[in-house]
Amino acid sequence: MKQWGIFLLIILGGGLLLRLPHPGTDIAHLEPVEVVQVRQMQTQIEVTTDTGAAGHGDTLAQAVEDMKEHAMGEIFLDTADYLLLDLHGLEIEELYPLFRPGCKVCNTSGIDDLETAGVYLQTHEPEKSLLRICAEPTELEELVQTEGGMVLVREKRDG
Amino acid sequence: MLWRVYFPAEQGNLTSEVVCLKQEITDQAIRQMFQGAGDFIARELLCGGQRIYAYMIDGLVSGSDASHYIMKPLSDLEEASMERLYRCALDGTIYNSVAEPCEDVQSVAMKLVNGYCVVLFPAIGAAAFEVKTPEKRGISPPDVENTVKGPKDAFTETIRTNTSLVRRHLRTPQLRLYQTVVGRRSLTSVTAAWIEGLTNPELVKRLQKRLDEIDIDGLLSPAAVEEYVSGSRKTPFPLLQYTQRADKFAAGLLTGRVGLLVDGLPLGYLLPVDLGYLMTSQEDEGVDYLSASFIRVLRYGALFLSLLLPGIYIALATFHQQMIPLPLLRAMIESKQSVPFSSAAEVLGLLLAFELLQQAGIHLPQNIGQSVSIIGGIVVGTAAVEASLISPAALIVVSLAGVCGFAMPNQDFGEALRLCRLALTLIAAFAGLFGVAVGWILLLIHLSGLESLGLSYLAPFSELESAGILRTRLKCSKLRPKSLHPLDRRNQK
Repeated sequence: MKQWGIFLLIILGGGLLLRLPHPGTDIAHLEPVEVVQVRQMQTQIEVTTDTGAAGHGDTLAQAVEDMKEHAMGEIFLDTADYLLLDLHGLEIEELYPLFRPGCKVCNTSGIDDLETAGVYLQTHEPEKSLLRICAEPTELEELVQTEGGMVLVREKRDG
Repeated sequence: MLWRVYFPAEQGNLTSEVVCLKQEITDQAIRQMFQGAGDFIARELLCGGQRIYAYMIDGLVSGSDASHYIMKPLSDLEEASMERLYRCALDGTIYNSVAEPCEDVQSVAMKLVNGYCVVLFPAIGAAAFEVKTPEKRGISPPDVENTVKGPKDAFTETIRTNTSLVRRHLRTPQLRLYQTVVGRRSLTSVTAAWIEGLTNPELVKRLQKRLDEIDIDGLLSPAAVEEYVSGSRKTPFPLLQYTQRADKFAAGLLTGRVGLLVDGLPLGYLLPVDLGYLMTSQEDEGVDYLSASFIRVLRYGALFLSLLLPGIYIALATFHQQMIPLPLLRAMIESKQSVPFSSAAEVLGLLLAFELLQQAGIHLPQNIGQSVSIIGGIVVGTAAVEASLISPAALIVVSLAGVCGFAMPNQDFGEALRLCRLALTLIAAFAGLFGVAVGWILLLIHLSGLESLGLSYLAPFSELESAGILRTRLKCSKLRPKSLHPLDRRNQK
């Protein structure tokens, strides 16, 4: 009887393990992202990454979903170190559940080459993290594209 | 003592046990007992005008000693009655250190198989003289528990040599050696050792009871000893501590534990055992307490790494990638791009390959075994990485876990860890860190339930006074472990 009980428990445990809600993704299929740019278009939001993935949607969540759907691999936003924002009216709190709280945030008015931006930001890291600006809204630095490269402007953005 | 002996006629039929008590000793009865045995020697002698018989087993006795010290003095006797011849033989004509009268045919048989020469004086009795052959393996250094500074005398297959080794390390007359015979057909000599006035008598009683309860054909393999003496618990973890080293065995007796020596096995067992004993090496006593403590902490680290590393790697690589630092994650992803297998399949496959490689190394002769290990471990491993069959990270993880497993002082414990590691890895492949945590808790529950002669397996971590992880200064460790309930707790002033 005891042995049958143990056997049933093992079967039950095995079944439960196989039915876990999160199936897992092998590391080989991941596409880790370092820089993410979120832009407010006219009616839509555009999300682009330094790996070349892009997505559009009415909301930020939809844009991210769209990007994940159309990406070659499994877009992995948890590794994003830098978040570039070009937003008008989007609440910053909407970003919080989608990105790592520790990722550094700055404004931008549209950067085409996010890979180069990532390299630049590694040496000129923005000061404010997503966690900090969610807790206490404050002025952000701005990443500006110049002819020779990029500059992180620490003064207040005009307009 | 009366022996229960199976006659050849009853072989293969265990239920028809024939126990002959006080059967009269005759030439015919002895010959019938060893009928068909090619190594049985029966010699008829005419001594002092009387016809007597000498019996021995070729190979077990020294033929030269039997001729010089038994047959020659008997042949030189002047004419006398059979009774007088018998008395002369026992009282000194035959100058032998051990001369014992035999009570019945069974005792004759027992003496013969133990290297005695039995002389039958018809109608009077039989006397047995010890003339064991000196052929046995000499004392050599231990080949598993190597030592740099410690004594190099390891146990051999001969129980008497082993008891003498223990006596040389522990010259106290309080050393007790309880000898019994186990195994219906193997008739294996087994000796329980302890120190009177120090060891908890309850431990000794328990061990003696277990030895007396063993009723099997033969106690020939270490597994048989371990299973029967430890009570055959359903666990891969050892409930006896084996050692090849006589000094470790003696040190174990001095802490208040009971020892067990089995004829034919070149090792001794110590009971009871807990995780602390399995994680300490006698070499720790050979270095200063700081170095020994450092090594012990390192060993516990190796224990955790060996158990958990492959499981945690799979969990992180499959379920919790956000926990991996970005540069490392990128390196891992890059190395995995061209590997056709999932991380779980890679690690599980490598673990199994590792086990197979180890088995191949054990079963082959030492030189070839080493070559197989080198070819398998380095050549095939490197080639597999270069061919993108496995990722370097998986190879490193499995190798590291394997090496950490080898850092365990007790090989049985290391093997149990390997089994648990495989189970934890499997569960991690399905349920990530949650599975590892569940597996770890189940393992702890299992270990908490284990007992060896009443001593909890996790005693070092449950009692403040027990040995613990660190090695204390010898000057400060004045008391024997409380968990063993020794009669004399103090080991120094």
